[in-house]
Amino acid sequence: MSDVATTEPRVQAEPSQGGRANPFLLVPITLFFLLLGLAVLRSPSLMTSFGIGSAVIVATPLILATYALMASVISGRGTVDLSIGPLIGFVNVTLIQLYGAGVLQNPISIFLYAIVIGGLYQFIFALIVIYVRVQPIIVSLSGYLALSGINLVILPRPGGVAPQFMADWGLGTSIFSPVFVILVLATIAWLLFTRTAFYTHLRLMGSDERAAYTSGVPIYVVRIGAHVISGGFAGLAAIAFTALISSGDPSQGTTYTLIAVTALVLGGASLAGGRASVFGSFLGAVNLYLITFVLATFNFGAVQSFVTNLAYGSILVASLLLTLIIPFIQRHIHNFSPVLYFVVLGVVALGVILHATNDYDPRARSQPVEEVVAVAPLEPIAPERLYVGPLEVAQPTATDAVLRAEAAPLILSALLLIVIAVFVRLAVSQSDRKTIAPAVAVVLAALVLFGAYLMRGDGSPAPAAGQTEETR
Amino acid sequence: MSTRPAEKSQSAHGRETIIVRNVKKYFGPTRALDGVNFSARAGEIHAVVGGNGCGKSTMAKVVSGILPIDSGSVSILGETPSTPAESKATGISTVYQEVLVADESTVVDNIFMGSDALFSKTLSHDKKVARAAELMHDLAGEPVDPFAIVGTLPLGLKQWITIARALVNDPKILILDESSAALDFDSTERLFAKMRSLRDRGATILIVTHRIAELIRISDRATVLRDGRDVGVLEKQEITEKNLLALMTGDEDAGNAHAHEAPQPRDDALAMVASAISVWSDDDTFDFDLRRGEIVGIAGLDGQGQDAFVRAMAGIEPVRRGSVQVSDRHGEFHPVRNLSEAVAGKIAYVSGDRKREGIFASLSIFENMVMPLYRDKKRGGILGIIDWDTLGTIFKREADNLLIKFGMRDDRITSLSGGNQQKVLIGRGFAMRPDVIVLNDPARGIDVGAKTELYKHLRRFAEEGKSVIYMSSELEEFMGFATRVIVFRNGRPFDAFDGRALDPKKVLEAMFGQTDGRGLDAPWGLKPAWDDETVPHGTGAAPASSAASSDGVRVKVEVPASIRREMEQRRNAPAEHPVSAAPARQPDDRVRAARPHKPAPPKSIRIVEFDADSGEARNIGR
Repeated sequence: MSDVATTEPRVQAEPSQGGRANPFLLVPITLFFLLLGLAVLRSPSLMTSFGIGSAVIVATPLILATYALMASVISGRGTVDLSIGPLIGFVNVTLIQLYGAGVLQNPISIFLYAIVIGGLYQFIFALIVIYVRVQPIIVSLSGYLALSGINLVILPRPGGVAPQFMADWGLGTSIFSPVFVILVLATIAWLLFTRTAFYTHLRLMGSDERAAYTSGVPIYVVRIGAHVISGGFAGLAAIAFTALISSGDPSQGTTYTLIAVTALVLGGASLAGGRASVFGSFLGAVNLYLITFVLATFNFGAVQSFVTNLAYGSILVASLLLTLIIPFIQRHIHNFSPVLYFVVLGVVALGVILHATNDYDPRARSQPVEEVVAVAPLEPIAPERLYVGPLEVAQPTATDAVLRAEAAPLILSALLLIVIAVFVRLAVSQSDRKTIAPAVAVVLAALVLFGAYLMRGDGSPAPAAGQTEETR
Repeated sequence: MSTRPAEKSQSAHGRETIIVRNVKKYFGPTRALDGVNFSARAGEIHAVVGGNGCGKSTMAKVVSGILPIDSGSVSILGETPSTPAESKATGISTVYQEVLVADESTVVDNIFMGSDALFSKTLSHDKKVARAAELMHDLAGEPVDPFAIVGTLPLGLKQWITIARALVNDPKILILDESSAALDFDSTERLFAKMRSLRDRGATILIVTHRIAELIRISDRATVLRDGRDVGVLEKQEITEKNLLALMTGDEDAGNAHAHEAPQPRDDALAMVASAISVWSDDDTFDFDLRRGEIVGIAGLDGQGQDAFVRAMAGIEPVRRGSVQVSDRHGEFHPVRNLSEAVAGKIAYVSGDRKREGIFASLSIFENMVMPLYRDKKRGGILGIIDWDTLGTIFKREADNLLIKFGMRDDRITSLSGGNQQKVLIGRGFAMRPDVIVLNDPARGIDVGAKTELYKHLRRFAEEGKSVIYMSSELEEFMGFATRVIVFRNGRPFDAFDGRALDPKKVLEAMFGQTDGRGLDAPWGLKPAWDDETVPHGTGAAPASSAASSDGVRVKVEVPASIRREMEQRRNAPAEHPVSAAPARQPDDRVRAARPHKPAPPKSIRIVEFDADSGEARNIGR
């Protein structure tokens, strides 16, 4: 690590053209690894195939809802779509009712239905915003209230059954569930979208609508397009939500509004428009999930949900305060690289994970992990064990020595990974290219996926990590 | 149009690319364009010039297709674009007065804003980056990171980005609307070089500017606008300051002088004193005195600091340096640093920008007018019950005085026309019974009848011994109305004119910086001296005795040397005997030293009457 610490300032001091990147990711990345480390220490079962699988199932609707918000918030005018939660609920309840009535039986028709309904709603939203010239926040608030009511009319109380093919989606027994595929496809779709001219128009319009108009950008079409895309993501979020609860629920979807907005802001998006990144939104939503997860491992009893909300709020405020230093970073450090930062922190977190899963509680490693699948709250922990426990220094036993021998190449390769990343970073910052972040992100994501695939086999993350370095 | 000599040589130069015929454009009651004709050819740099509000910016917007016209015809390269997208497709690029950039996006995206189709890019991203870097290097004269986020760049570079955006797709017609405003001298030179090379390739370049020196250097032809009409076209060799100004002012306007005489103060009693103030930079300071009973007109091109000056006088914004003081009715001076001190000093402010700093759109006409009096007219001590009856009387009085036309007094103010809204605001200013009223372009968008009423009212107000500071963008307003007119340029007074012999032509020349600025030191300058003419001789021996006899009791201050020189300049030096203590505070020195000129009201009247008999009588009498 000391290697990195000395290298990085030199990289940043280089006054070169290439390698600009988004410093707004600094806060979500830091928070992500902090929370991840904490979550793993509190509950090592998270780092199993089942733990990650259920995490994916629970977090995906929130992530997709955040994507949906992201598409419309970029378009400017303060378009924070408060009606996103009820819209998810609406698609959910109508889907359940229509399926119950025997209309939508085919998976393809169900997906089409969800996406078209979401897009249609947002299309009408956009028309009202553009031609009636009502402020978007008012329209979305009306949508929130109206849809919340309509949902209860359609399905007065939770019930109904999800389509048959979705029934086992919500179990979360494996990382590679269909919900996960939806998430990956949606993310890739957004990444592809960012390469289009349309996305450039969208960002320019969101940043300064008058400038875009006077330069000849067709702002009405662009705004409608942004809303329709947002609606499509909302439809996907509704599918994932339906898979999660495997039934219809008229009021549960409504709760997504506030946490999706929180996730969006946490991910570094500007509510004024023009700036939002898929990586940031993803991390923002995952951070919120991790907050819930970590808090669930403490037993707060009846006040659990209040404590969770309190944590959401205070972390949001704290991260916004941290955002204040970003102009400072932009002025003094021209070459902040979120990817490098992510890799470095990722290696640290990997160490924490290995420690937590292998050393901290050997029983969790030796025994099958079926019984700790559920994210059930643990017993209240004695304070001294809570605070001193992780710091306890154990005497190395024979098995530990074996583990150490196994870990040595791992540690070496982790260091190698960092060195490689730093060199790549240097090369990029000296070149004239803007960034190779998309390529790096895709490679990294592929490695993580591959690792997860290997992990599926034996429930131990060690081969995954090793594999990551080898491929690199 | 066909009679102009410019038209004859048309075929020699190139085909006409822009033809504007008899175009009219109204904004409410304001006529921005009132039947304007205009044409420009391929391969020329054509300037559109005129004073404030002559419609030149409106014209640029009409030609670039973002403003629909009310009547007439516009033909650009044979087409009539009606949206920016269409005009871009026609080959028109416009750089607007405002710096329109998307702060959250990169330099490349900003430069190529609008040049892509909806879904497909015209150039690959790498080519765009290379082109943007090259263009910005050319224009800004230094390498600019094409990936930099625009919001982090300085204003000058943002201006270059808007210019680069216009140049990037080789326009056939380039319209520059005051685009050099944010650029320094070197940058302007680079811009001019770029414009010349474009012109040589056969493009039409239209520049809208009020910087005369620049346009003389660069333009091949110039069309002069006045009051929304074109008043003449000048060929290259005819473009001189003299010709431009003659066309802009229009000599025939001098005839319809107002019948009224500008109010003159009865004495030298000062209502406000601003010493060593500056509104822009810290070191460019000036003094300003406001006498009781005078109307001071403030003029200048848009954004030359006059706005900041009147706001500082009204206590809305603090001055950057120096102090502003206002006299109360006993002749004591109090500082004006903020709005509450201004209100306490009985200064009222009326803004011409009704929407932003005037009306409360959701309140009634009545409330809008009497709102500042709630606190004054309260009853019941701590309960602070508003005395609606008294307020109703005040409302009725002011509404009658200003001839405000309204239905019910409880109607919302937005039900009134713009002119009547403005009258309500002026009524609000008068209702506070101020000693000084500061008006910031109040006549913007109000009709002639209302203006006449306003002038009458303000004149009566001044005759009561109150003072008026009146900023206006229309010079005609000052005719027969202002006691003196001060012209601002580059954040400080540039010249001053006597209201009794006001020549709008000279004022306009001063606005463009074409006069010598001698008026500032004249008797009608920044520090006026009333009895300049009335004491033509004999002052050499008089000062010591006269001042001592009239004001001997109250002169307690030694006059500092610098001030003394000023006093002598005015040939009216006060007593120089230090009767008692030395000055306590520096800023007050000048004020106290000046007090011999502004004795308390009863005394001053006596002196004025004395003066009225004859100049010599005054000296003998003393």
